[in-house]
Amino acid sequence: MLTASILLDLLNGAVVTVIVSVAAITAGVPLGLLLALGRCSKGRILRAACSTYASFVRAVPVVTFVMLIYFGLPALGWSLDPLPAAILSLTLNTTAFNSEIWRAAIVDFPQGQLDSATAFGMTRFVAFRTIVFPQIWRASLPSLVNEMTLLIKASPAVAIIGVVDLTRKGRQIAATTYEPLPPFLAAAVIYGVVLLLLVFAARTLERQVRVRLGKI
Amino acid sequence: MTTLTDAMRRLCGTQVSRWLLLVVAVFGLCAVGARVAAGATLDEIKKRGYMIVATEDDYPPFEYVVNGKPMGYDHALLAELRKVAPFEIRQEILPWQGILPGVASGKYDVALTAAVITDERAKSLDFTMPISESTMAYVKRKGDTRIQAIKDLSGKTLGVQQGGASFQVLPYLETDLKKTGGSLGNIVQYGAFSEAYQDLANKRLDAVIHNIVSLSTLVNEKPNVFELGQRVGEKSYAAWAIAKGNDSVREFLNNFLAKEKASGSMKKLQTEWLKITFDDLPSQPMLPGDRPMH
Repeated sequence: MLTASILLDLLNGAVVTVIVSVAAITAGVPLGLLLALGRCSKGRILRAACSTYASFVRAVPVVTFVMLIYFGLPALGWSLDPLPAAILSLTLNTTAFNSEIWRAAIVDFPQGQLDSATAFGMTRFVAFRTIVFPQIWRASLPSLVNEMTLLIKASPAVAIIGVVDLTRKGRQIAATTYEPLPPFLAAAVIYGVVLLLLVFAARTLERQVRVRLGKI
Repeated sequence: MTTLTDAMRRLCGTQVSRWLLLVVAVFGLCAVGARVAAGATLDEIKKRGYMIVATEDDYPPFEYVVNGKPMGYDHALLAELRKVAPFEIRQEILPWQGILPGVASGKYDVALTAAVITDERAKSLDFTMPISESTMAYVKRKGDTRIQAIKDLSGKTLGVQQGGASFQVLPYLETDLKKTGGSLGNIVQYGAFSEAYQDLANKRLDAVIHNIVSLSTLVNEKPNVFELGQRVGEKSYAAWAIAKGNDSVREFLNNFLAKEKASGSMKKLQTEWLKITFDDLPSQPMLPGDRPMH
């Protein structure tokens, strides 16, 4: 049975899920852009380092990655508490996936616009800030939001190091009531609400951008 | 050094070499990890002023969480330990699957959980004296007349926990079944027992294997759904686990547990939480079948 106190307990877990996800998304979107720029740079070493990172992180399952950060880093003398370790792992993970999205937009960017900018004497930085970036973020937005929803759904992986997120709360409740269905159904509804809010916000933003700035 | 950087630069160009680098890096990390695996000694713990213990959150009646509050037999013992320890005791609550890597990597000093002492685990961990008997048993649906004894488990679908003692007891069960001409049926591994119980109630499973104490708690809670069966495999014990070779911490915990036993406090906590008392627990960790570990 689903009582009010169980529901409240689940909401506490939902807060943790939202905190780790929002923190990872906030840091991971700009870091993904930096990584993408690194992967498109002219320096071979930088390019190789950035793409090795992206390949490695995308190849490792999230839960393995979380354990590597939490249990592996102390061996290198850097010990993190569970919550920071969880946020760091999710950030490093989503950064790699975001970099793919940003990179696709950068690679697709029409070279002609850059040539014109150079012809007008713009530096690379100014051209990026005023010409490239305003276009690629709009092109990348739907894919970035998609990655955000995937990240939120991958976030239960952090439970392995003791961060009690929404899914783990559900499991704790199931362990004492011996009925996993009610807490997991309630958790599914809460996930649904969080994701719907995110998707709704993104749609609104996309529409505003189209109205104010016109189509790309 | 120059040759090394040259070689690395040459390697960096290709996809295959990137993976090679990755493998080298991961192995390097493991090598560093292996060096600290012995865990902090008691002196080191006293010097830094705190001990870190890991407990579970979904293992009633030993350790569980209700409304964010840790409860159960081990949490009660931990409260006693905190009263006498000459240092602070920090606690991390996490799933079973994260506890053993944490102890092995030295992140936690003690797995303060009712870990069943098995041959498999004895290879990589040390244990304190037992805190409870923890012989495996099976639970079936109430009124399922097909299963009356161990031999009836032949060919049935059984639920166990990934990496749990319930999984490690399967070879013993198989030997028993073969004696009566039977064989092991389908085995389904779960991350958490609550899901296995649900699948048993839903008739996806015919029986679930777990320790007798946890199963008794389950049957007490849901007497109309489940029915306790017989013991499976040999007599086993549960104890707290520490990193292999960490003798000073083991001695410290054993002294504490011996005092708890002598004062009758352990028995009181068993009655309160486990609803059953074990009067003849050995004072040394014992492998299944009462074989001494050391």
